[in-house]
Amino acid sequence: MEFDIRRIAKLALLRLDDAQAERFAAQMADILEMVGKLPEVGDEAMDLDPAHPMLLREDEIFPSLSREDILRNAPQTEAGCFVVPRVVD
Amino acid sequence: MSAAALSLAMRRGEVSSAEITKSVFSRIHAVEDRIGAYLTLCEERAMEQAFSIDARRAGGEELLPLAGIPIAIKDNICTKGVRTTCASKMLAHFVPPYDATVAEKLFAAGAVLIGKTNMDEFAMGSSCENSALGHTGNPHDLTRVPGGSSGGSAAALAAGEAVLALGSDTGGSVRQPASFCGVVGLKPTYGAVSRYGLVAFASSFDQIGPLARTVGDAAMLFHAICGFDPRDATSARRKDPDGLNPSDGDIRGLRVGLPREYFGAGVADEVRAAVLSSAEKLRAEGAIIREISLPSTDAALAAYYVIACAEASSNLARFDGVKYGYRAARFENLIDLYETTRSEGFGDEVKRRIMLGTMVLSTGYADAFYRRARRMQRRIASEFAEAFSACDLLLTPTAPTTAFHIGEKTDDPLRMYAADICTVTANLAGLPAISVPCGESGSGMPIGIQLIGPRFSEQLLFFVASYFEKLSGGFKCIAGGL
Repeated sequence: MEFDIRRIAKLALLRLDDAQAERFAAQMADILEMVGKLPEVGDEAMDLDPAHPMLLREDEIFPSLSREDILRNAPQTEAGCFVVPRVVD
Repeated sequence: MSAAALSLAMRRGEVSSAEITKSVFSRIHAVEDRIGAYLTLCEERAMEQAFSIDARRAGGEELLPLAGIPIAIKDNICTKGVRTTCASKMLAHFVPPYDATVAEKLFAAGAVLIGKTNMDEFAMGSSCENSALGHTGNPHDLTRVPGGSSGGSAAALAAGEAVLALGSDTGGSVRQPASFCGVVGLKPTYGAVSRYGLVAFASSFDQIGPLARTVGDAAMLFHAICGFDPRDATSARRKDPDGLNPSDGDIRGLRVGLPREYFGAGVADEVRAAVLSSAEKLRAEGAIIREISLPSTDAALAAYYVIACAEASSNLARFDGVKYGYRAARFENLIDLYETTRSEGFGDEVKRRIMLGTMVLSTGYADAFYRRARRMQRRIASEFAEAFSACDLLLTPTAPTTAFHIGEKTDDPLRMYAADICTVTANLAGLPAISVPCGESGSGMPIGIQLIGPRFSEQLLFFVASYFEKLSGGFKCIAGGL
């Protein structure tokens, strides 16, 4: 199966140098050969647990974590905000 | 001693939590530099928790069975105020501002946190060798792997460095290290245990599971952590299961299926022999053992890796250097921030799986891979359902081999993936499965036997596993020679 390792890396926001690209491409080819052998089976409509579908919660506001708690793990903050590179010129 | 025995001894005033906790830390000081089970140790906090439990008990308070018991928690489960790294550079300094639901439940019950255990990075691996932050050896033979991804938790138990432990299982990551280290490990039914606070790998497979040195202890820990949680939308709304009641079940007439696809050429002869001999022990006690077939087993590994990696590529998109975790030191713009952070923060196996997942979801490939894998998943689930109309449970090896040597499979991802062939099916079908020790290889390494049951049949699994434990004269879980 054909694939472009550099394009996939770009989609995944990963950067590969030449040596890595070559190594990963070879490993991916092996893995793809394994998964490529997946046979086609008919369309089975069964859900894993149809008796218990996932339920969504009510759209209600309730107390959560404090700004201080959340910002404690941030790489860079200023005035209670996350600092990021400029996105728009 | 088992957690159950320690709990009783504490209730009788024969020993204190402080004494037990101190003894665990003495053991850690003696062996941990050779085992490497832990990434973070919480000795001071643990002693404080232990003293507090002892004081409450002395004051006459009635406490839960887990109160005062020292427990190890895998480092992908959030513990408030205690570093949680997922064994990745990406989260090497991350301190969660909240407890996972399972951690909340355990601390409310009075369990004492020893520390956070080593694992494969973001739970991706079958040997614990993919950790970016630590190295763990198998206590039975330090030149061999403890298994993965919950290798640290399993090793801690086998080395006597914990009384109970929590791990997580996405494709076998509780059961396989339990098997490699000679301890008990359960993957609960999907939805039985809340995933809130578990750093997600594959959201439709992940489950937190108990590891212990006895079946009774594993059951005790499971009952403490299971139950509906409104904060996990996939959490099952079911009545909590009753306690294990050995007198209720009967081995005679129990229908045990042996799926032939799990005993084929890919399984080491010694493992096959030990597992079949264990099945014979059950037959001698009156169980009805019959060979069955699960024809799609061969396709399970491929279906698993396609779906798991697809979900992982989505789940790990959140690690971008913006709000928490590692951020690259140098970058020119936003995309550069993302690419540099992720390339520097993730290890190779994580990158491989993210890329595989990205690919199988991308235009032009999704039909050939992802949708095909999903259909195969449903086929596998219906084959199990059919098997369970004729069998009460299934019996297989947990892993095709015993613990391999460190470095033996790291050059070949596919060979490493093959370690999961007996375990991924339970994750694909959302079924509960338990691994218990059933013998030793010629080189003295533990062999694990796996029991798989229908959804929410944990009681049955505990009953049969416990019966087998008694037949074996108890599991000798602590590794000698340390």
